[in-house]
Amino acid sequence: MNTMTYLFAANAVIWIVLALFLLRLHARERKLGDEIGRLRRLIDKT
Amino acid sequence: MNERTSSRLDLALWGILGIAMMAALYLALVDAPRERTMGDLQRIFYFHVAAAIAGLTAFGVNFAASVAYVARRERKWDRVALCAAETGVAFLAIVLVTGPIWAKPVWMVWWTWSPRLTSSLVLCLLYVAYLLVRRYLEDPDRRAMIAAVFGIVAFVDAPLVWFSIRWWRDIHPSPMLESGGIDPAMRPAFWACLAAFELLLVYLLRRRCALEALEEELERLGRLAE
Repeated sequence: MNTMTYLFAANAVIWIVLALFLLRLHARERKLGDEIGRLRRLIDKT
Repeated sequence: MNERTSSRLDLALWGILGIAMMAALYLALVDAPRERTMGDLQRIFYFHVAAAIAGLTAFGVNFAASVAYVARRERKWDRVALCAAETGVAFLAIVLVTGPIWAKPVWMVWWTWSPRLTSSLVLCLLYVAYLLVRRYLEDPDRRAMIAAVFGIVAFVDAPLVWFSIRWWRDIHPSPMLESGGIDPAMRPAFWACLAAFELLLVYLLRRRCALEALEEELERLGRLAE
């Protein structure tokens, strides 16, 4: 492998880790938002 | 801070972060001169060091928040500590993967048990353990106190990581910034990457803390609905 391959691999790892972290945050935000919306509707009904 | 101001701040931060990242990428991958012995491989250094410093900053935030929790017993400090630990582990994961990618062609091995590498791995594992301990404790007050003490003790390893290459003989490159060993032409790339990663840390911490605020709201509504 030449040096450019290692450089590319290192950069790929950085952006993949950061993207996974952000995607996980986003997914949890959406899930919690949905759950909060469902509970608010339930409380409003009662 | 109200919700509107907060979302505007997030948007502004996102914009500044985008520009900082683009500038850092350009300076590190294009503008910085090619290192004489390692060639383009040395460019990994800019992101590797920046991620390491961002990770240590996050663990520093965890330490400060843990101390604040022990002193004041306010739940918000426990939440900040949790967010900082998670974000720090993400940055340390980047460091622990990019390091061996750089090491393989330079040292001919992916990994060696040198003081800097070992203390970095131990630091990452300590905070993974911190997150696991939190997951298995159900009582919120007990969890917050045990986690705070764990966070304070775990941070003892952070100065060991930082000073390991100064205190012991190590295969890891020496601290070039303090010794002035970094070429002046490489400095803009280094500082741009460091600034971009610190901004990224602030952004991720804000997003992660916003998630904790949502969890708190969900708990409150859950109690109301019962």
